[in-house]
Amino acid sequence: MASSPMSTWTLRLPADLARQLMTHLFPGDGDEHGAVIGATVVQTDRGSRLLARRLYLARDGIDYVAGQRGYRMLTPTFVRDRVLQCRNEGLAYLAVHCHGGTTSVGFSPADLASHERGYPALRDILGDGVVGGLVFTPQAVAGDLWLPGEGRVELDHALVASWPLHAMRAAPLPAPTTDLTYDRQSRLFGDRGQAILAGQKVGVIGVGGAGSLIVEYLARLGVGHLVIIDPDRIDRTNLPRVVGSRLSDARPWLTDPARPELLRALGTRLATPKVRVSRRVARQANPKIKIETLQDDVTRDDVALRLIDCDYLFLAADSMQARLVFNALVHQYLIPGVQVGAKVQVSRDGSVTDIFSVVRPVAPGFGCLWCNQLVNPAKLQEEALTAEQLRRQRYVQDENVHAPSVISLNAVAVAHAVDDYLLRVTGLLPVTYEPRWREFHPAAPAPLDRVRSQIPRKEEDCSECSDAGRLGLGTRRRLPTRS
Amino acid sequence: MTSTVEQATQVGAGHQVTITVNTKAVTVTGPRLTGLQIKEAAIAQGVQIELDFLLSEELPSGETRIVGDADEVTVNKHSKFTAVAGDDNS
Ligand SMILES: [Zn+2]
Ligand SMILES: [Zn+2]
Repeated sequence: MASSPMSTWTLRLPADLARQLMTHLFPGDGDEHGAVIGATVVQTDRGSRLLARRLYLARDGIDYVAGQRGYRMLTPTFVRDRVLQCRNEGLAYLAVHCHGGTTSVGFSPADLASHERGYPALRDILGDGVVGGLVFTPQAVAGDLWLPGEGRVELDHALVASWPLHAMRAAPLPAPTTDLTYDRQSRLFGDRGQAILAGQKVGVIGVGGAGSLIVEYLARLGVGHLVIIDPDRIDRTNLPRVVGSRLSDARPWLTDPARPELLRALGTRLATPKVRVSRRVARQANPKIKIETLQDDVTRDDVALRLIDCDYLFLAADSMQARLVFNALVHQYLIPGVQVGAKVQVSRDGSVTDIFSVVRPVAPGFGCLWCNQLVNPAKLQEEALTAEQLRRQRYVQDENVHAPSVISLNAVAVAHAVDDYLLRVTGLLPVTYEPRWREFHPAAPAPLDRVRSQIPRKEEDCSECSDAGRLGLGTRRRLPTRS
Repeated sequence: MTSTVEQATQVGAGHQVTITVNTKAVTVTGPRLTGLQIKEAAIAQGVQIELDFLLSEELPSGETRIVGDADEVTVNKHSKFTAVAGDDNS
């Protein structure tokens, strides 16, 4: 896709990269410092995203020296080596420096003259790639982007994918208008928070017991745009836990056990898709909400690609394939997300051995499902088999016995996951917030075992979440999907 | 800064060769030219650089070598150069 100057340009930074950059730019000496960011470019219907993948810090006095036309400059050799590295990796080149000030920032005439002088050459070297300059204060950023051809645009905002999710702009946005519908909740996070929610596009993968609750909560909170993915249709055993499902959705007059098998099969085929039930629920909560429904599997290429411009992802489908795709989306496209689930484990003799709900927030650069061994290669392989192969391989287990599932266990995980999301996007979390994975074991005998915190591990060279792997690669790498 | 493209063609031994500067094709009279002559030829042929940009040759090994204004280099049709400015901030 060609870059369009009409498109809104944003920059996403993984938390680690942003922390290194801000520490370098603002060491407390009040002076100017410089760096270069190499970023993947992703074009979507909602705008163009720069995904920060490489950070090159300019050493003071060596790479960042007294300027010839301005106060300081990135040396030509530093510029040359960085632009060649960006070219070799197919990345956009963004030169960075800092200014004094706090909540607003802009380029100086000397800065802009330097862009005019040097950036056409850099754009040529990149082979018509994107070249730009960024100027930061601790709370603001402005960007001057030179697009292939003649286009030149300002950066709309940068988002640090941390806790909280921190959006930085050239100047604070004007206060949005009040919507009285949300009066009670916006007393918590303000009209600004409410406007942020209205501007969000959130993906929900799986709308069964947990996912249907997520959709209801997000719609009632006032999230503006949902993408809902689930291949299944309602059957009568879903009624106790799929929010908004009605007996009629399961076509009981056809699927009643007394009916001939042919009619029952027809009824199953005609039952309401789960995504349609979710859409009904979301529309009732908010008639203005924008909803895309995909009655399909997220492990398919074209389905997963519908999620790449989301602001947040909820994974509420429990297959290894779905975990793998979700995990890749988070790191490759720098979209924070969370996995939720609830499990009742039953032993062979039928007794309950464990009951728990789990919430695993996943953010670019903050551990991942893969390096925490939550994507099981053996199960992945098993899922890749055809239904017939699977039946043969699983002869010891009875595939017709479904795992137990209960709405209140799902609700525990979902409420925590949506809380995390809400507090993160509306800026209510302290910058010192320490994220954790959480498990809730309501039946654990010892009180301290009922809520457990886990620090996820992170492998330095993980193929999924490190910058030696998918981190920030965007469309430059295929997702682990089927075509 | 008094060199011109005409002078460049006099210094060379006479045959035309197309090199690349910032990925743009630039025709020069080779095989031997100075750094300044390469930049002059590039500017004359529309490459968006200035005479005081830093010129480097991109070697097949992946390394780069700075070519000073007075340095002479031997070019052929595979020769690749970059020319960049420092990025001045204030
Ligand atoms: Zn990982
Ligand atoms: Zn400046």
